Amino acid sequence: MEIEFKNVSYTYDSIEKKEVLKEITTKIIKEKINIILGPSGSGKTTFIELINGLLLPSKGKIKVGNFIIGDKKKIKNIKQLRFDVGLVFQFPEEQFFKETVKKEIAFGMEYFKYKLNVLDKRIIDSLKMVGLDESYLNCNPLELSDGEKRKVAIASILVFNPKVLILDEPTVGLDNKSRKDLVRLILRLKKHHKKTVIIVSHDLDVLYPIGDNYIVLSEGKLLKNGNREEVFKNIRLLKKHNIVVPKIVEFINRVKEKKDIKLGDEDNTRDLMKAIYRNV
Amino acid sequence: MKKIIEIKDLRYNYGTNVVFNGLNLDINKGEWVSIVGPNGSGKTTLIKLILGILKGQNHIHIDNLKLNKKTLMEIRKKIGIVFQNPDNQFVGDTVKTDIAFSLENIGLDKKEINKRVDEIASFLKIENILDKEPHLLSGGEKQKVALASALVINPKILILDEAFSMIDPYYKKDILNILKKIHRSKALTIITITHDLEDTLLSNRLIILDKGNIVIDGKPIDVFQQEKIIEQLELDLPFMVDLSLKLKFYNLVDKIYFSTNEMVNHLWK
Amino acid sequence: MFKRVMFCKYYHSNSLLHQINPTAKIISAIILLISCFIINSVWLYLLLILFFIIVIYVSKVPIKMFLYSIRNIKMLLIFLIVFNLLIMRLDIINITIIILKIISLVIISSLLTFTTKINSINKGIENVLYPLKILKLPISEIALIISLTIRFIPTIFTQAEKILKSQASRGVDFRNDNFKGKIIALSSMLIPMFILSFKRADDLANIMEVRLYGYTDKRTDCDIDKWTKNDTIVVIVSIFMLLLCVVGEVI
Repeated sequence: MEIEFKNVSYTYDSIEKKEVLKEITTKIIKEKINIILGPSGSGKTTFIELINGLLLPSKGKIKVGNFIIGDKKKIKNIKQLRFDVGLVFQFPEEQFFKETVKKEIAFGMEYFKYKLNVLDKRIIDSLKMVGLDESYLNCNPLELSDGEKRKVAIASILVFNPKVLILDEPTVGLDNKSRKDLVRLILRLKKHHKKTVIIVSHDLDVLYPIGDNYIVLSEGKLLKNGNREEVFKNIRLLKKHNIVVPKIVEFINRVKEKKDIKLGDEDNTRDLMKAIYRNV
Repeated sequence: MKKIIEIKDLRYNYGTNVVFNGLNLDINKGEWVSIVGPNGSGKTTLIKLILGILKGQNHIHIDNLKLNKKTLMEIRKKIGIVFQNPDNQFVGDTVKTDIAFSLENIGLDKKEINKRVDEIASFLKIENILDKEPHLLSGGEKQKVALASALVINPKILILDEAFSMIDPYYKKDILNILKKIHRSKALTIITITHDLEDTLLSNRLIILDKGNIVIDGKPIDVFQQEKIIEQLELDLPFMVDLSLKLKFYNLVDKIYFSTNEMVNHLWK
Repeated sequence: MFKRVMFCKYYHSNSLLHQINPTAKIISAIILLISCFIINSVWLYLLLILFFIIVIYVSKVPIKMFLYSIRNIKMLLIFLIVFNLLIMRLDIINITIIILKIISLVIISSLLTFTTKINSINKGIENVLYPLKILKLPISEIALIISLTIRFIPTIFTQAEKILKSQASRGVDFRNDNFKGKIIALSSMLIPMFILSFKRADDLANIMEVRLYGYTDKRTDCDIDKWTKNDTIVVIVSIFMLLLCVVGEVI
């Protein structure tokens, strides 16, 4: 499913008329992990809410598969869009309101009048996708651990089998083990289930190793766009906009700056060590 | 060294869950202690017990005062706390009112309150937002205000309970630098609760808590080299430490480097 | 999806009226409201309205804002006119008096809210009710609760918006659906809102306690606004208007 932003602007409809996004033109790469980064207030949340039609652009168009958002006042057949593009908000476990995991996951689908017998298999499949087994079906979602809650919330979106999954700050508040678990889950979704993943996050140290495409926003404008090498080649610009880069990137940049040695675009310490070994 | 927090045989149950089963912990005056552990290990419960928000079976002494109903207020005067959620600890209708809140509560006179608020706002560089309302501030700004509110009572102990997990890393750096400054200048005892071992580099003591028990307690540099425990709890070592240990294994460096510049200069003389 | 609801519009300006002590403004507002209700002649109302126009001029708030306030209740005004004309069978004069009463009410309350920040109004009400402390009513505590509530209105709106968007992403769409859909959407929002609000209340209670609320019964009042000559003048002017109206009625 292709997603493309063409000259998209969004103005917040209040008395002050704040322009939150300014003429953004960019693409989301299919079946890859796209990371949206930028300081707070840069428009990241608005950006993703435009993709699944929660917001309509003030100017410009967004192409999402066969949908074109922005050419009319209302999106025709918006339910299909919600099926194709799943959006998981920050602290998604806050939306829980059913007594069992099964009902929580089934909720949206029941709303669309899916019969329960068809749902059963879908629910179990979505639980499997997030790494939980059937034993969780009758648990009270509020009694699970933080990591498990997060997974159930994601499963409640995966049950729609969306082609695109958007995650807003998926790792925030989780402990180390759960964070690692979540990163593995995201990788599985891309590799195994061929989903296009879009992640908004500050947590670059843990997500950098899995990012394929980066979209950097600052003050509503597109600052940089491209793969790891392109975006993190010149970190001075990013730092100027108060963006904190992964520590491994800082190190590699420092080595290049001070000793004029290019180590490469390693994303973990083991590879970095090998690169250093070769270059010492 | 003088002990500022003494915890002996702490026991606490949450419903049927046994959170603490006889915890002992002493913190010395002027120490910066980091407490790390998985969710559910009891970190926040420990803080709430120290503050007297929860009542357990304990012998807790803060600055030589035994914690009980009568000493509760006096003890709270000595402790400043910053919790995790920037919104849920912002009490005032403006930044100024929020910082002044605790001073108003203890009945200081108006002049003194204004003086202290201005001083702490200037120190934390938040004078420009003193009249702003909370819903116009970012999470990071709100946490700085929470820090100001905690410091304005001139506490002896400052506790930060996962204060960085919901904010932009830019503000985290900002606040950590401020903590570094005040730890030195005011000889403040600081306790930071965090998941991120990177945050523990500035502290002089690292405690790892798991299921209500202290698994390890020592200098950060020593704790980082406890491979088994780090692996078992799936903790991520701080970047420079991780890299140093790997390079050390291949004899490219001889010790753990915390500074990028130092390591780079050593590797490529 | 949500238009930011402006609760009690405040219009920023540095007029004399903006600088008057909120307590003085509230007392004056009450006195003027009383004036408003005791008079029954059209001439006195027109005099009152002339007085209001002068005050509006002093406040430097554009008259457009006041017209907007009146426009907001146009349905009520139309209803009153029709009701009193057809059912109560009142004559034009009496109907005009009723309409002028309502309009005066709107102008007085608008003058107050346009020139006084909501937290100052809260402070003013606390001061006016202060004498009730003799009856052992927890006036300061209630004022603090009101202040906290006001502080959290924008936060709660943002939270509600987020939950609605969350549920919308699961297929529930509050805007695009039929009535049954709206009911389901509402219930999927209320439970999470309750849970979050309870957590917030718990966190707030803890932080207030830890920040020594209740340490002493005498909390310092940082916003004591000084009472100046201008404040006295404002109150006297409104008392004068009241007397004028009383005299006018009696004659």
